Amino acid sequence: MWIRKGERDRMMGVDSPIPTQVVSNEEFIPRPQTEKQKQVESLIMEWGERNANRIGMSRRGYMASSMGLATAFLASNCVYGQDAFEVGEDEQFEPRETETVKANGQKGKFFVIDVQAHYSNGIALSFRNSETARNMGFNLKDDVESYSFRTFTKEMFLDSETAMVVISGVPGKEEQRAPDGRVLVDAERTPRGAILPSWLMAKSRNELNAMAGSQRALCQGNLAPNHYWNTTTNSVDKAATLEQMERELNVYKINSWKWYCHTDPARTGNGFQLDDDNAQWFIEESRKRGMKLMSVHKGYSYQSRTLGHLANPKDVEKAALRNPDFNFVIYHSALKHGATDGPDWKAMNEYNPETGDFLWHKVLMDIKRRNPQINNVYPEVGSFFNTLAIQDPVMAMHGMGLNIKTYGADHVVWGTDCLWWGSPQWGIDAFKRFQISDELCEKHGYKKITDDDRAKIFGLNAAKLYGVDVKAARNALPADALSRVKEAYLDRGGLRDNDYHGWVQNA
Amino acid sequence: MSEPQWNFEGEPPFEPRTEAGINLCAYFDGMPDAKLKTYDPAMSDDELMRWDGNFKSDGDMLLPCTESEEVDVAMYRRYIAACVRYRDRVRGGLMARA
Repeated sequence: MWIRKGERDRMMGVDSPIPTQVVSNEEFIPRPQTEKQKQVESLIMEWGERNANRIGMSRRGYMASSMGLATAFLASNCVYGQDAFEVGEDEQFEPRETETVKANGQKGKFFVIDVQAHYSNGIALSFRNSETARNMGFNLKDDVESYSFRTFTKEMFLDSETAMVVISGVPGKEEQRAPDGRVLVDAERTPRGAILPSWLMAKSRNELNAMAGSQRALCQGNLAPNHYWNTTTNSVDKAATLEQMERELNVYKINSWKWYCHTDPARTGNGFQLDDDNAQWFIEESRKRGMKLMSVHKGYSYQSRTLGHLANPKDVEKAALRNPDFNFVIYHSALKHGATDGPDWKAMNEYNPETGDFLWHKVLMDIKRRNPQINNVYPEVGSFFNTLAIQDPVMAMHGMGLNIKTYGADHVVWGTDCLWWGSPQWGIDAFKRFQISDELCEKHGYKKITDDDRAKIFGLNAAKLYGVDVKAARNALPADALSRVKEAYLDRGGLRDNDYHGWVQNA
Repeated sequence: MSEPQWNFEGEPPFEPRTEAGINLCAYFDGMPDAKLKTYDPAMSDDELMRWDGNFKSDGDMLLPCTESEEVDVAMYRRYIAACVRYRDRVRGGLMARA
């Protein structure tokens, strides 16, 4: 049985500021907790309890603080022995505002844009019924959708220093018209339900921005070349696709397309590739309409011989070369991960410590190595950095080191895949502290990650891709409603839940 | 004995092909024959979920990369029944070649 990581932790009495095993976003079967992860978890609990007692705090309060996070990174360094995370012993006992940690005390030093943020119906959290929420006068409707969206807002904005989110799609097609020809709207377009259809992402973005009084959210559109299909001719239903394209661009005003080549919402029996004729037709139609940003899931696919290989990033090369005016953001940095690889997962993923390469990240790196002139491909790090950081910090050094060395710090884009991983703050904290060892820098030609690199990766690169004026956005933040709610939330004792919503095995 | 190279996924679909169906066929192709042989259609839903081990606490299956629909117990039962029929049909030939 698979249960949510947070549920597993509650049953085991674990309260950890970082997840102590990989959780599934339903795109892969997570590996069981490793022996080292068990050691990290055990140390976090032991040291956290000890430290909380020493300074007279509750364990809950301590684990939700910057001190709890520092303790967790010290535990990771102790077990993995690589000092992947820059953290001082003293940080365990000195409470700080989380945003000022590793930022020279400067709040808001990094403008964080998370380009891979999801919310999912059915996630049960305690916030809606918490005393803090009631005291703040939140009017939480008792329905699943608002429940999840409120949670999303809380965990992304109140519990983390994320400034902006890109609500990222999950593949699914919308019904377009009623039998009488009337154009369907909103939920009518997904009568059998859907996780994050385009209409809902757009509505959520608008609601967030209206509530905040500033631009805090962008959204993607799910439409792809195999979503509307003429089964008679076994080809793209171009009329329906263009109708949907117009709607997503002009009504929803999406900010990027989101493609999953290995999925098949129209039940065509197949997926597609970025460099096939149907994708190129779509790209040309999108070009005519001014949308030139493609966010593409790559990696995290397995099993099906029919569909699985379509998530290999091999098709990025031709598409990027053929369409230099488009930008291709490659999600998960194409980490394959694998499904049933157990303790031999490194070998199964062809991890080579001599080169730092592993599947299918190597395919993505090789594209740039072969084509140094390519300037329109951007590795995204959601469920890449955070997965590797808690699975094997040395692989994380290689993964981030190679991304930066190969594509440049100005081409690596921050994303987290949260809410699967709970509030993204632990991942943000991890990357602020993350460093590549001297040994690997010397051997592999990686450069130490600088704060300038971090600033680009955390948000400045995404801002360029999405046309966000960072200066204006920064100026608007302090006075916007979301910042004021956050201030009130923290003043009233709001605490980050160390609650991870992705799936783990109930051992 | 090594596991034959099952290809239930490559069989003509027994019901309209969907992304979830394709992935579920592939999932069963990865299930050892010895395990499949212990499948009993008379199992209750709870027993079946425990027997398989890859159902989530919300009652649907954790079937990676099935992004646009969930696999519930009813769908699982239809596909595993078809998979049992497929293996019964091809087992002899595949074993002989293995």
